[in-house]
Amino acid sequence: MERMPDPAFTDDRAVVTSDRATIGRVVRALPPEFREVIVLRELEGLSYREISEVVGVPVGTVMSRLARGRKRLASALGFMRREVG
Amino acid sequence: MKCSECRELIDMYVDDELMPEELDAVRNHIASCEGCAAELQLAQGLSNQIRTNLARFNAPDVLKARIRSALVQPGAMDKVVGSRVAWWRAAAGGVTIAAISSVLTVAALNGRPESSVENEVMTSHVRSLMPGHLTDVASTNQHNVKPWFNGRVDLSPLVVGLDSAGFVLIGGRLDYVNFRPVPVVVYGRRQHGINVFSWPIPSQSVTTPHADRDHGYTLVNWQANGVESWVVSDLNRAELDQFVAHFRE
Repeated sequence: MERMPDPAFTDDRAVVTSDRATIGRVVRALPPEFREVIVLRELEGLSYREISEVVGVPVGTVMSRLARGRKRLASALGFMRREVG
Repeated sequence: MKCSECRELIDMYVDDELMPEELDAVRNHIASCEGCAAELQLAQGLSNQIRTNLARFNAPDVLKARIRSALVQPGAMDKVVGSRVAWWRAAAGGVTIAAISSVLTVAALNGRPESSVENEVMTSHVRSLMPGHLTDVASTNQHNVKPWFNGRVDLSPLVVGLDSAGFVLIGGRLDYVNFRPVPVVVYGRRQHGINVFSWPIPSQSVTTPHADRDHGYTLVNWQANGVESWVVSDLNRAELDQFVAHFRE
């Protein structure tokens, strides 16, 4: 997803607010394997173990897909998550 | 705990997946580290934004495809349906395999002389259990479901919140029964779906709820206030009676 962060979301500390349409668009743009775990976690409220059963991949894979999916969402929505060394 | 260790655990913290000792360690670290506290706030903010703004996003295509393919290969479903999976997914899975054969049976029996409406209502219920057929509008909020029917049908159906009685509103859909478009309000109890059909009738006749069993489903029918209602479910009779009583209150 190559969307540039919206200029309104440049504050890197405040919790930014995004509208429904934007979030729908960025989630839809995620590769299916990331979208799947995000939807099952956030909307269906399934645990990692339950997601692993539904999707048929190990729990570790669920966690890494969630982390990578969230990272993409965060950058598309202007949430600046930072790495530390 | 180092910041790098804390950051590794932030997603699990947000997802409520940490063991008690890890939870304590993260909490202690965050209490004294502004950077990690801000990071946690962002992670929680993102999660909340997704949850609230994506109120109802269609199940991912991949998952739908997997459920569909599992229907073609019985047995594969065990992998798809987890232990505590949302009830509609269970409905889309295990129940559906049984449901398809019921549809075929119903189709074969087609036009039972006593009541074709009963058959239509039941066929519609069974069809609704198939993936993607349950609801046109999915919402747990009665104030979203009821307006959705405006202009789509000639009767604004009764949509009541029955959460406190343990019957969760799932949504609504439009079906075609008795030669007319009919609103269907869908509720759930555990892994069971409950479909409520209603349409206006010309007479003012009032009948008390009458239950019938057919192919493992219970159908309850009554007329009141110029409306005919049908409730169909595979829920046990006692709980379905309870549902009807609450619904009619």
